[in-house]
Amino acid sequence: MPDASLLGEVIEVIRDAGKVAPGVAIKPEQRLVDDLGIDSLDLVGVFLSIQDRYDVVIDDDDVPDLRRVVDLAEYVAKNRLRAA
Amino acid sequence: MQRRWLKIRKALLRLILPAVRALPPRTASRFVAGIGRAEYTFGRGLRVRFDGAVRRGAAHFGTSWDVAEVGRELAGNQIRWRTRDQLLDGLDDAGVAALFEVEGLEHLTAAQAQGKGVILLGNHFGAHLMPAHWLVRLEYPLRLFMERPNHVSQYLKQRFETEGPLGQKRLFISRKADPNEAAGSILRAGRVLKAGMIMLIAGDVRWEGGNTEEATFLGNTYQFSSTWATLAAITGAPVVPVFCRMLRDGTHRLEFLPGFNVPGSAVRQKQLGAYVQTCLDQVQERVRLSPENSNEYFFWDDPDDAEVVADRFRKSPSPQATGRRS
Repeated sequence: MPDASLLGEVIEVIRDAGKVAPGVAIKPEQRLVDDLGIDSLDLVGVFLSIQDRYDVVIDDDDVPDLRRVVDLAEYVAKNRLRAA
Repeated sequence: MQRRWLKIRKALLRLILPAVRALPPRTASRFVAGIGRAEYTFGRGLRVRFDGAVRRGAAHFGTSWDVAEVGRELAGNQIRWRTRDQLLDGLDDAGVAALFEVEGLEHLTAAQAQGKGVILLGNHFGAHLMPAHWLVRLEYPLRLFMERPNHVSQYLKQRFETEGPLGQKRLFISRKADPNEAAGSILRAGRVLKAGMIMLIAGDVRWEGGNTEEATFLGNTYQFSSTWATLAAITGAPVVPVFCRMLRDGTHRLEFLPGFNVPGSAVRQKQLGAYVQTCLDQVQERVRLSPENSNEYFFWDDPDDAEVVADRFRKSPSPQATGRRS
């Protein structure tokens, strides 16, 4: 599990780029599409925002595995470390 | 019955195409169109259906087409359209080039010069896969962002096998893709554009679900995929519409229109629908001018096709905007 600070940041990116309503609580185990209702276009926005913010490249082959909030945060943690 | 005959006809066409290709290319195209015209002339049911469709089109545009003449030519061109680019197999590059009149290529050149890749906005008017074949023959860096088309030339099939992050093979999309897979496809397409390549996407694809916009076409309102506009907005790549009309002499007229950009703000301000409608208006204008090149457009609401349409939707329980329907 990534640290709480990173998780919180990723959740905010998901909320902004994924257009999740402010009143909706976003939890680590929630699925981006099925639980948060993010469509494929907004999902692209989420991935692009994550790439820009953390200077990581999300391989499009990895996208199908990034289904939950925590998946995305772990991906950032792993690849940000690798880049460093 | 209608579907069964279509399947038989497709199979027959596949059988005779190798022999037809032995003819001079223009004669081969005219021969194939002749099959459709003969069906129109001798098949009462088909003639009634085509005439009805053409009448609906004429009524929409408020024009007085010669229904029998347009119907006959349309029947011929529909068969040519169904052969995709298969009649071009076996021809050398010069032989292919001789079959095309090209207008507006400077618009594509100007768009390429922007260095952001180009979205080549295609459609299902005329010979819709011929622009791809023509560009590939001239070694333009072209990729298709659509479902893998069936029954195309061996020449294109070989090009479809290109591997790697920018290869064509991984760019084909599936209508069964879930939103994650669709997002991956859009990211991949964005990378291809960033590499300066040309990406052919159809702008007249009716679809349901996310990434669609409501627009009118031939007097009816449908949901259309807006993926091309989204990609243009996200990547900044210019959009160049392309049309390819089938001419009666067996050749083609390829037309590139002036390019335009879709600002990034169009996504946030929900303006993509206007771009989708503009694209469809351009297609409608071509249909008005050349109804014999309208292929299936007049049949979209034909009750005889309802079963086919329903079948397509049944096969696509969770449609994505990146997929093709029509």
